Amino acid sequence: MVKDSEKIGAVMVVGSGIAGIQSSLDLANSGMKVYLVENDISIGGIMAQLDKTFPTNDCSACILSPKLVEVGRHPNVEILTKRTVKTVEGEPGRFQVKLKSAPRFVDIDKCTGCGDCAKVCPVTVPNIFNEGLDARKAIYRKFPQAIPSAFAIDKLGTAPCKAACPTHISVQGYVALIAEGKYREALKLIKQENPLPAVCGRVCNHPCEAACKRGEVDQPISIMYLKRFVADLDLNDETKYVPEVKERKDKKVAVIGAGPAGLTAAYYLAIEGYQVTIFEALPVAGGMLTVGIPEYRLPKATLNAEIRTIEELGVEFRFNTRVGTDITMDALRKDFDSIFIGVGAHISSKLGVPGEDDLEGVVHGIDFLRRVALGEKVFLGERVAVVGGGNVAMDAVRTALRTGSKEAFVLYRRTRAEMPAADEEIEEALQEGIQMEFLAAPVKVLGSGGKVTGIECIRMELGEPDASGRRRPVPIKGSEFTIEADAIIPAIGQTCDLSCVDEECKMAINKWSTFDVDPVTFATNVEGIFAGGDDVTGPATVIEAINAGKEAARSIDRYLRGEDIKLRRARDWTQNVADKADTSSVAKEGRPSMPELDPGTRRTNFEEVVKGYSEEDVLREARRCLSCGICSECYQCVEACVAGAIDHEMFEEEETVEVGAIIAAPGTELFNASLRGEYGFGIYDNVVTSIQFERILSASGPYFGHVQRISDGKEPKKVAFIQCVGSRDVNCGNSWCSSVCCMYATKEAIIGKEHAKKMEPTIFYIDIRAYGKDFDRFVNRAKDEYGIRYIRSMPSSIKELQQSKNLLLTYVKEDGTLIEEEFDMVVLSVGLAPPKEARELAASLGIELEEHGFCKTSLENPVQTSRDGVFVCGVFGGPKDIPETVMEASGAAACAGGLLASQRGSLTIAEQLPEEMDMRGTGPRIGAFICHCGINIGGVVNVPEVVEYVKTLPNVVYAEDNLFTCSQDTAVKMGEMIKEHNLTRVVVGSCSPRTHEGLFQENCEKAGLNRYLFEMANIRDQDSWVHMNEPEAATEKAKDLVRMAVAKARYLKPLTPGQLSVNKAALVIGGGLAGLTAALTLADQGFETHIVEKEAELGGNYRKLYHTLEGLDTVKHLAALLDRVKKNDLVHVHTGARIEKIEGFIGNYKTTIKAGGKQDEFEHGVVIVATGAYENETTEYLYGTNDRVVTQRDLEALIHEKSEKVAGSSSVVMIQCVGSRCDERPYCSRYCCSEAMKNALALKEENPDREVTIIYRDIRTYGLKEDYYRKAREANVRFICYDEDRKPEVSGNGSKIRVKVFDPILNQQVELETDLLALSVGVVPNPANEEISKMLKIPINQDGFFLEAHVKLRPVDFATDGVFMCGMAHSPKLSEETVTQANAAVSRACTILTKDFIEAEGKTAYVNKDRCMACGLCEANCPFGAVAVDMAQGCAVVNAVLCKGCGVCTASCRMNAIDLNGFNNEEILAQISAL
Amino acid sequence: MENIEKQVREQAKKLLADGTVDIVVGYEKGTLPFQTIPCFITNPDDAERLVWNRFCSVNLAKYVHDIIFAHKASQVRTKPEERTKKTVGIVARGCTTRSLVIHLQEKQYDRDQVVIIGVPCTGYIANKKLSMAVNGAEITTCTVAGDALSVETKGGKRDITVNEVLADSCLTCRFNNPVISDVMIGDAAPPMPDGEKEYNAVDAFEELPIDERWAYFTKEMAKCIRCYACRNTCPSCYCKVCFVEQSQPRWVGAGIDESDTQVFQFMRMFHMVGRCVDCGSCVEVCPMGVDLRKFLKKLDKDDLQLFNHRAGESLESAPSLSVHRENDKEEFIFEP
Amino acid sequence: MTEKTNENWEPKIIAFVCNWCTYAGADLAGISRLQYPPNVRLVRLPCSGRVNPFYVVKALQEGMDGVLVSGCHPGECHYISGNLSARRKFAMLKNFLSYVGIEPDRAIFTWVSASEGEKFSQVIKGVTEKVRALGPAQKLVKKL
Repeated sequence: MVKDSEKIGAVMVVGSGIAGIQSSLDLANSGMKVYLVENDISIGGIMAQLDKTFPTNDCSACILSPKLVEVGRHPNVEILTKRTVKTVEGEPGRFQVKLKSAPRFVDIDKCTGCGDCAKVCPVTVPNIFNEGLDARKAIYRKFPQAIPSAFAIDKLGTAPCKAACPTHISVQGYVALIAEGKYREALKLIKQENPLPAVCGRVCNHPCEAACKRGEVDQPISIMYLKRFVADLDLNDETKYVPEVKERKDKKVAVIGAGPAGLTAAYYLAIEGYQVTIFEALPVAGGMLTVGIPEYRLPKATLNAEIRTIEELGVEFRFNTRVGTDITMDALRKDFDSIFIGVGAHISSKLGVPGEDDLEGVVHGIDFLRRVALGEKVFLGERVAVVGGGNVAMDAVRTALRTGSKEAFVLYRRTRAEMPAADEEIEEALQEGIQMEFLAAPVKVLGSGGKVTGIECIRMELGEPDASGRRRPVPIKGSEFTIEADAIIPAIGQTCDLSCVDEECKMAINKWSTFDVDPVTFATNVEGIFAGGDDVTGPATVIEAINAGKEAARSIDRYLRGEDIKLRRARDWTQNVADKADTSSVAKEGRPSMPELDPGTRRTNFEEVVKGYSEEDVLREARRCLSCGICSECYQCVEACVAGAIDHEMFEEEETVEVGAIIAAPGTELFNASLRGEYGFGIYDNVVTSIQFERILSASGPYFGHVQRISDGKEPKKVAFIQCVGSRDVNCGNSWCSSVCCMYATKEAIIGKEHAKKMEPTIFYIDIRAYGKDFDRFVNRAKDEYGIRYIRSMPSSIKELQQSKNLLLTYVKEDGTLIEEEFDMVVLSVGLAPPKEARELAASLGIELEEHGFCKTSLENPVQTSRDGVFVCGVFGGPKDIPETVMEASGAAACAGGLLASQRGSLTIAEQLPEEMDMRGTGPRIGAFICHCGINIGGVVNVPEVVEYVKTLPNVVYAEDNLFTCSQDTAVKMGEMIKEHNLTRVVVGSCSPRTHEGLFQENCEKAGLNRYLFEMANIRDQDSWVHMNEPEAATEKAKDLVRMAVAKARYLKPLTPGQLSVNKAALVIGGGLAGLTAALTLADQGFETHIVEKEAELGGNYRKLYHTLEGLDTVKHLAALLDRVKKNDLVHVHTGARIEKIEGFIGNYKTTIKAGGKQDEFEHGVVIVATGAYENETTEYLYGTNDRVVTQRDLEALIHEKSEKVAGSSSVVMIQCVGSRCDERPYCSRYCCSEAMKNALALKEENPDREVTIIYRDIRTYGLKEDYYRKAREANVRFICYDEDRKPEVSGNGSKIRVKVFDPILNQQVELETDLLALSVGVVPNPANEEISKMLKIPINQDGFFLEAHVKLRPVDFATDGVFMCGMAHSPKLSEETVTQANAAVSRACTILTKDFIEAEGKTAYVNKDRCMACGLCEANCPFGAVAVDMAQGCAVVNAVLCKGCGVCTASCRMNAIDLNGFNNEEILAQISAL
Repeated sequence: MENIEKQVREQAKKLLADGTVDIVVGYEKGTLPFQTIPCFITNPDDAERLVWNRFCSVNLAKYVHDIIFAHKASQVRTKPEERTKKTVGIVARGCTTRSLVIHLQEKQYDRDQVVIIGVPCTGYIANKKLSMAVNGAEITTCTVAGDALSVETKGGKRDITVNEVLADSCLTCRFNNPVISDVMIGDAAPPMPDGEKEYNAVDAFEELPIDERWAYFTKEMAKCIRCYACRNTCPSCYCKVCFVEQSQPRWVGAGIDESDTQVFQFMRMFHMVGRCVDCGSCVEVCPMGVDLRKFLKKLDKDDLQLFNHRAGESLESAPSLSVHRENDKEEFIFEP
Repeated sequence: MTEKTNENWEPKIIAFVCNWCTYAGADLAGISRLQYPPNVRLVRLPCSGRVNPFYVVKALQEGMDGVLVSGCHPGECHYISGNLSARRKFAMLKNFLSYVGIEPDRAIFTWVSASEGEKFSQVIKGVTEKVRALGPAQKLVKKL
């Protein structure tokens, strides 16, 4: 055990749906530091996706957003997005949690959420937030109100093409840009890594294409030719891309060799501003590109265009200058600050066979090509044999054809498969009629008269693979043969001529006659000299040479700057490659065919063979890209982001956080509907999931709330909702009831009908589980008011009709008839499942899961996991609805808070603010700060003009414009200006006060200005963004809005929110399970409690239970509770007591009670109402007249007491919903079905032969209790369903009871004779609620239960602050739910009790006594009971602590006597007049 | 009617004599024979001054409010435990009692501070109509006998029926008997003749083209000289500082611009939503004859149609702007 | 006051909106870059229930061509029932303004929730069109 003094006053909340948010807020508001950990990019969970919430149909976003903002701005909640928990070490009270963070690629602090990045992002992916119904960009925000509001980049890793490319160009990036027609941007992106794209667009060996995932589907993307298309922009002076040269530097660099490596190095060095001179031995630039690659593959004009660009950057070329001969290396080293050597490999390798050196007609491949390239007329003879299988061999043989040889052919010692030449080139050679002799190796060149006549070869066969992985050719003895030829062109490789470096240089040269360089920096062993290209690698590809040149240039730049040339440059590109995507569902669509010159024509000339794609083909081809990496790394976002927030170089990190407790709230995973194949989800367009339907209904969804079919966008008429898809289904492994689907389907049907008036919804269900507060009413309304059809049946299959795309449902009616019915649309009510990371998370947290994969919890306390100090809430602990989730969240917070009570406040920040400046005698001196928001405002509104205008307004003494007013440096400046200009009011014209007002107010406060002397004009969200095409009108509007803000600011008053002391004791009304639990949890937190119980004994209904359905021994549990209460000094019990009166309000109550004839009085700060409820007293079904008719509760006692009444019964019948769900009590009593299961199972266990029959309306064993319903069926408990209008009939018959009931499945009346009849009589509210309601001014609902402040998000609060409720005072519920709710009430109460003072709203109402006539209209209109007429004073009085600042009172006052701080009449009229 | 007058006097005397009330507010004869003015009786013997006839026009509820508040104001410096309550007896017909209901609903005084001597009402004679009936001639005597009215002017004597000169609000009155009272005098009066036609004028006005309505409104408002007699006589106008006289902020201009008067009248009338009992006092006292009732009656009609509420009809019927219902009509809400 | 000429007259409309629903809906319209006419200026108030009917009358007197009031849908008020209080006042006010002869489209009331960015833009379009159709405000307008 960790000592109290060593505990950590911080809690980690894992998961940030509504559960995590509620826990965080409760804890942070009661003195705990909170780390809110989320693996996604923003908080909000599934609730953010919902359209409305049942049963009140509140807008989900509207009620959630303020919570998001609150948690986002809370000084003591640290939101950690993109984090996952790795391990948890330590003990309760002091845990060390290791977190892993995934990169977001956007700096949260810098991002302003403007969305400019998303506008330019070329990658479109399905929008998961809208359930794939529309698309979003790779850089995105989940939804507009998301917190944090910063964008994030969706990256799966490096796209395989980019990883494979030696220069690592963002291939997917430029393909994506091309697909959008952004050719210039694509070209620019390419040229950041490769200055010769037109070359590479023709002759690259394109490893990118080999890596392309599309190749698995059909053919890889034709990346090379896409590149060629955009690169050809460079051929035209008007469209070419010439990079900007940075500031000229006085350093000089020599480049030896004008091949691709040298040119590349020169290009990037020139851009950096260096003076570069290239020394080239040949008379032309381009190296092998010019003299090695024939014109028909790479036209000289194309190459020269790219070289010209390099020249234009200021690179000097010195041709015909061979270093080592024409100029010494030494001279270069003196004249230049650094040298790059890229001399290539221009010496032909020899065959090493007799005759090669002495016979005329043996011309080596590259020598031949060079001579042709330099313009020499070369005719080798009629028959030419080329030896070799590489690109040079292909080039040579095809060039030979073009220089007049009639027959040119290839001899290669392996087979076609091993040929190293590019496939295209071999293919083209074959097309041109070139013969290839495989498995033939030259032995000797034959000649006569000093001239070649032929070649003798030997036949080869393939042996074991060699080092290159290819099978080694082995000569077959005696297989020599001769081929006639006029010339022989050996083309088997090249070596380097390194004569440029002399001995003095001391350059390291290896055994392959190449330079030894550092593989990352390309530095040689000699300082300042770098080398790359073929002279390092031996003959290799253009793209490798380019990469060498580029990397060497980076090294040289760093070297010349005196920086570490190696730092952070090594990167393993084989790691983190996005190549795991499933391509199985991609539709096949091959490349467009490439137009080529006809083989017959082309073999006679040097015209370019490959013609290149048309624009149309290019666009089509680019769109085939699978976007493997999601983010294409095109860096358009980087350019678009004025705030400089984007950083593609972020990486995964680990951190360790110390906390005292952990709350797991990871939420849920919705069932994957495609697993129920018979419903055709994912195949039939118009079959959608319920969550998709939520998005369809949402005003901010893909269709703006217009209900439409996916297939044709038409409004559907007949819509079927199918329940229990992925719930109550053992076949798919989800045996549990998801608890929420019946209600959300009903809600969706209602809202759907409201949106599409002609809609006819039908809900197919097994049982309607409307077990919550007011749920049955909601369903009844759906049936009666909206005419929604409910059918008790599960459709067996769906077929799509081809023409109409309508859906044919097959189902069996209750009476057994098979029906086929056509619908326009089908909504599958998908169930809730454990979150997909449940297993991993459980392992990380060290907690156990139960059999279904939900979190295992304690029977006594549903928020306690198997590990002390780790709590759970929300669906992770089992399927549940939002209110239960919120209750659990608060309950978990109370438990975590109880554990750490000793450290409360130890880690939270109480900000120290400077003293407010004295403004007396200073009139309004207004300072205005107008924001450009990068280009978000400035790009539309003429901000400088607005600033000039503002300066002319009265009382404005200072105005300026800022790039980002919200940035830290502006905050500092604002403070300085306030002081410098003695500003007494600040106006900011920027974005929305809803997100930024608090921030700017803090700036004011920090400068000593009262935070209420601030006003804001929204010139972005409500101006520049919505009038983008009308800059002048937008500017005028901005002026108006700022003028209005200035006008209001003139009248602003400094406000000091009222404070109220808090009495740190609680009154708990009711000593049942709820009250006892609440009192004990309060005591854990260190607060005194008075339990007032009107009975003589504590325990309430709980005294009458023996065990729960799950098997908790409730007798023991209660005894333990009572024992703890008895021993706890902080809990004062008043039994047999009656509350006489309660006076006061939040923080300051005084209660008078009477117990045993004695009056007692105590003070307290909060009230918890736990008045409980009663078992309904029925007279139905012979109850009270026949002693064999008992209630379920009686039955439990009889079973427990092993009564003869039970033991002697061979049959027991139970009737459900006795007195519930009827006209008098139109609500479900919630627990009866579970109680019936519990007793039925006990009866069956004791005697399996005993007949047990349950007559029910809907079985409502929601959540994990469904398993017990299944067990009961497996135990042969009989279930008969009855209709409300066709109740069972019961008659007594001696010791037997007869029950007549209509069985809809048998479609006939059945008659049962039974020994015992148990009635599930349900719950009625405590009649005393009414009195309590009046005393505390808290409402009760039409059924007589207390009415919470908000059904979904404030389930234990009242609109009146300081009063909370729990247990059956709220509505019928099970004992474990009561425990949770009691803890939740304590958590909420602690947000008050932990404070010494309650701070009121600043903007509250106030009364001008000189005007008030005490008419009471304000009092009548105040929704919070915050205003009351004081008859003695004759005027209204505002309780500022209760006032929420809505101002309804003020608008109701004829006398204008009551007014609202922050929005007073003077301020608003000033705004009106200003306009 | 004389019988009623007699009983009123008796009641007033009794209430004053036994100390039930400190003062009785009623009507007494004015200086002109056919006129009445409010009177305030504190001495039981003075009860004889009280009259009850067809010339009793002004809504006396206003005075109950004034008396009680004047008394309260006089006690500001008295220790709270030594303060006394003033109890006022009032002669009240239907509309007057409705005003009292409004005062009570608006917590202006306690129910036990007012003792209502309820009288049945058959309508009062509107001065302006009477004057018009004789073409503005100076009236010397005027006597009522049942429904017959005999008017003498210098130009001679004329007999007309009372109904011809009854106030418009009386003709359509549906509340001519008190809605609450402590002492009820006489039998309930029969319904007024034009009850069914209560909103005919409003209906007709609504049918006019909008510009004609505006023309009428501006024409009527142009008559207003901002003497505030309407406000001063209205029992529902009891603000300490009327908005028109407030500064910081200043709601309405001093009246140089015609829109100021329009805004003043518009807003004063709007303050009568759910509170105008159609007693006609404002019309009766207006020196310029502004047709205020044309507009006030519209508010009355809408109050009834939208909220099913009538100003001051009972203590239990909550003022319409103090409550709201989930399903209040909202046809006026704009849906794009 | 500037003289209004019909030629380049643009309607000037003031809107009183609640902070929680309509103002948020307006922000959402902005975030979604929905374009709408630039004629409306918003005054942010905590609740539609804060809108004193007098503000509407004052705005008209100050020469606004149109006035819009918008809050949370009934049942969604951040302050429980502020919008219901408002609804009663405005039902009366709207009728009364029209009764005295002011064009009904000069004062428009609506509900826009925080998620109804699209609706907000439609409302602004609708209101601007309606007011534009009426031409410059003449009635109740302060001349001096």
